[in-house]
Amino acid sequence: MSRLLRLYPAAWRERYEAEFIGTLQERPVGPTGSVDIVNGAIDAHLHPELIGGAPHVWTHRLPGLMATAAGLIWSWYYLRIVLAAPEEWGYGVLLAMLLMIFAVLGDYMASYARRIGLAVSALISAAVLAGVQPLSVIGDGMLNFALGAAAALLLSGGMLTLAALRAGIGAGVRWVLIAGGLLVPVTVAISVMGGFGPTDPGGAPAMVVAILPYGIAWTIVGLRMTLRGSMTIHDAPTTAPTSKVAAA
Amino acid sequence: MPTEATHVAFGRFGETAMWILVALAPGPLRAARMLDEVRRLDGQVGPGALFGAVARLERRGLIEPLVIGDRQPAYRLSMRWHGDSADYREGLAR
Repeated sequence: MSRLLRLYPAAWRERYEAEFIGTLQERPVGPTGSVDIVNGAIDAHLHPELIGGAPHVWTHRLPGLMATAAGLIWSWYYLRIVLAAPEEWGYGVLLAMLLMIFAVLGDYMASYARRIGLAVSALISAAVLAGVQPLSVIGDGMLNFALGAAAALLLSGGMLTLAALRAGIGAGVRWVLIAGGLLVPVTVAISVMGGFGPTDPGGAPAMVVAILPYGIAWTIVGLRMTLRGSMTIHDAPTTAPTSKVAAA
Repeated sequence: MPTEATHVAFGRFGETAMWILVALAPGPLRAARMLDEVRRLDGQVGPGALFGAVARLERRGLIEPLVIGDRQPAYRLSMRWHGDSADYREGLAR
């Protein structure tokens, strides 16, 4: 049960973990107690000011919410392609991509260069509204496909890495997310299952294997970012004072 | 001890916080005993809710930990609570 305490923020654990574990040892809890502990962990993430951190403002959660929405839309869209009738690349994917860009830009540039973020977003939105699909620039040739795939991998991996960095995800888990969400699935889909197109033979399962994990990875990063609250570079660093008062 | 933060809201922890204050009125209690007392007064309360309320009370300077040796800290009502208790009782009751 005390393993659930890992869900709490580090500063909170530093202050209360020892006595929380002591309390759990003296007063063990059942399954409902587990729910209560998870609720407490969510509350602790939402209120860092309780242990001396800077309070979050709602705008700090916006990039995380966008990243979560992007991951969910991405996953839903590709799942729908496989479960229902195959479709062309559609606006669901583009909307997810837009949200991913907003999430990363909003996080990095909200304070520094809000106008740049808005301009880039407006340009992309205009391109989408005009019906320009980014993947249409990839030609039919094998070389063009390989170059396009490499560029897409680089861009996708880079975006996920940036989002994971700002979500405060450590290097180990970050690599697991990149590998599990992108590199391994795409490699497996290309080398074992063949094509990506939903109408190709074996293409639908290949799409699920290759592309769905990316949406799941974004959802995980987005949830983490939302809970943690993404801090902009202008925010003061949080402090986590220990607050034990020695008895006189 | 962290700076007292009067802006920290109790939210859904208000009732638990109130019962913690009632439980601490006779004297300092460790968290496990506090949990027993709050459960006796308020029904089923989990440790997550208890520590959520304790963190808020401590942050607002209404209770303070009392550490003696290596034992787990006990909590007691602070001087601030004794000074402003009427205001807080009214505020928590709302």
